Amino acid sequence: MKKILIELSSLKLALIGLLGLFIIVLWGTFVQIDLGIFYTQKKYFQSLVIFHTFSNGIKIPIFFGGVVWGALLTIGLMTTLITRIKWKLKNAGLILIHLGLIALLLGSFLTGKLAQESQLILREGETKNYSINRNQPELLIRLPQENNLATEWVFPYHLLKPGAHLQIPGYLDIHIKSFYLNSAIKRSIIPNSQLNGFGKHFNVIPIPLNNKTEGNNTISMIISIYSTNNTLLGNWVVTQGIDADQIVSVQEKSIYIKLRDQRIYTPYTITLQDFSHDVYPGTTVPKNFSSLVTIDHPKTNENRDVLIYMNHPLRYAGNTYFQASFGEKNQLSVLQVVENPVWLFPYFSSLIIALGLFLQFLISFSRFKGKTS
Amino acid sequence: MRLITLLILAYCLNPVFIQSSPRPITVAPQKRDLTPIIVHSDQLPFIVTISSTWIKLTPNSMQLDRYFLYRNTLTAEFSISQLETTQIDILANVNRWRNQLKLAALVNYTPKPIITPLGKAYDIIISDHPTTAIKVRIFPFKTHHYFFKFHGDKDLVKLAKYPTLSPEKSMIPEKKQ
Repeated sequence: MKKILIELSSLKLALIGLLGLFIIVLWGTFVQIDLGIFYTQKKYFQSLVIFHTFSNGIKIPIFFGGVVWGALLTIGLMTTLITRIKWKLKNAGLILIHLGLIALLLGSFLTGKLAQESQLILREGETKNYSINRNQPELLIRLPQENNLATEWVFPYHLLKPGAHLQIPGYLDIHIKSFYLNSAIKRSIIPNSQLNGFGKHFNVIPIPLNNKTEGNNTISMIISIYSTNNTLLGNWVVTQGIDADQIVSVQEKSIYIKLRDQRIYTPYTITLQDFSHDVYPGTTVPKNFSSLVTIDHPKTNENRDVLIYMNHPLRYAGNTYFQASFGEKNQLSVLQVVENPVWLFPYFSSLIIALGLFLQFLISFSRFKGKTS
Repeated sequence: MRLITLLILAYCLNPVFIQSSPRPITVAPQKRDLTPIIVHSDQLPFIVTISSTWIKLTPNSMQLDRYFLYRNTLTAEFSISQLETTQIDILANVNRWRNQLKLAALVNYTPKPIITPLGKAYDIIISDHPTTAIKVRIFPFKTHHYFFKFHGDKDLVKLAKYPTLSPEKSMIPEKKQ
């Protein structure tokens, strides 16, 4: 056991880890030009293995991903702390530096796993209690009820795979027949007898993935819907390309189905009061973009106005709202919402490393001074 | 050897190769408010609430909004357009729509008056064509005339319901205390 720990704490292994990270950072930087940030992060930095996909769809592993190299370095640092560094006061600086580096690597791993980005799109005067993530649509099944209420079943993106069997107990079973990561929607002249809903009148054509612009892919699925007694009710197309409900009649009830952008709900609402797009006088050069919003949090009785503008995001209840874009003749504002529960990790780890370096310097300096005197 | 073992392990653990479970997946139901679909147009001085099953299409230059609706194989389009005038010639418009259906022009036409939440309006239906029909609601509002028009398969146009109209919040008179 000790032999393995010593082997893992070798400087050679740490250097291999560093070299691996260096290679994928460099590689990812160049690939990002074609692949975009979102897919580069997923493929190179947040994966165990980097795969190459041939034109016929066959994948082969070609290199380890960021998770493996990061884990190698973290394990190396941890085992060094256990086996090679003696836990004495004179080594306090070294211990802190190692702990800081472990926290930094762990923080970046957790950020990749836990951080979530979405967009809050508001028209002037509009109020919302959710932001959307276009990259990960969800399948919504809605059963309207009285008093403007509805029972909703939301199947998140990670469950939507070809062959998956989704179930609404007592109502229906859904089988995902086809799943397209990107598709084009075209109006069909002759109704498609194989499909129900708008699939009869709109063709969904699979097209190659558009990696360049994030969120520009239109995810679509063909699903088969069965009643609880296993009778096929028909096949439907659900797509991000058409923002409309489709009705499935089950047990004399109308059930609405839709593939919509993922919604991330908050316990508070945000209202866009005003969006401003300022330009330098006499030019069309943008000077400032700002959104005046009102936060209304019923649980805390909080109701206040906040101005969000370039480099001045709103940090509220674990979310950070950045001014990202605008539209509709300056009547619409797009705020990028970042939820990162471990956002303090880099700050803490940097502080620990700085403290460690300072202590190490102090200890070495006092030792040197002791020798000379 | 160790490296190969690690490589195979990583290959197998990659989510790409983990097949979806054949067992049915269920999620917990949630209760939510039903949010109506509202037409947001700078040019509309009132709120139009449309069906959530209608599909938004790109409007042409004369239209403010355009939607596609269907029932099984039947299809139709719904559009909203406006005319900046307080006076319109209803007969001329009826004959223009009749011409779109290749029907002969009429000499006179009396539209059906109705009352909407925004005031008096007129309903027109042209259903002389064997398969296609046009149904229009015209109403004057302030300095404009608005046209809510269905055009498509006759059976669907006949069944199609006009979207609900309501004044904007700022236009709703305050309740007396």
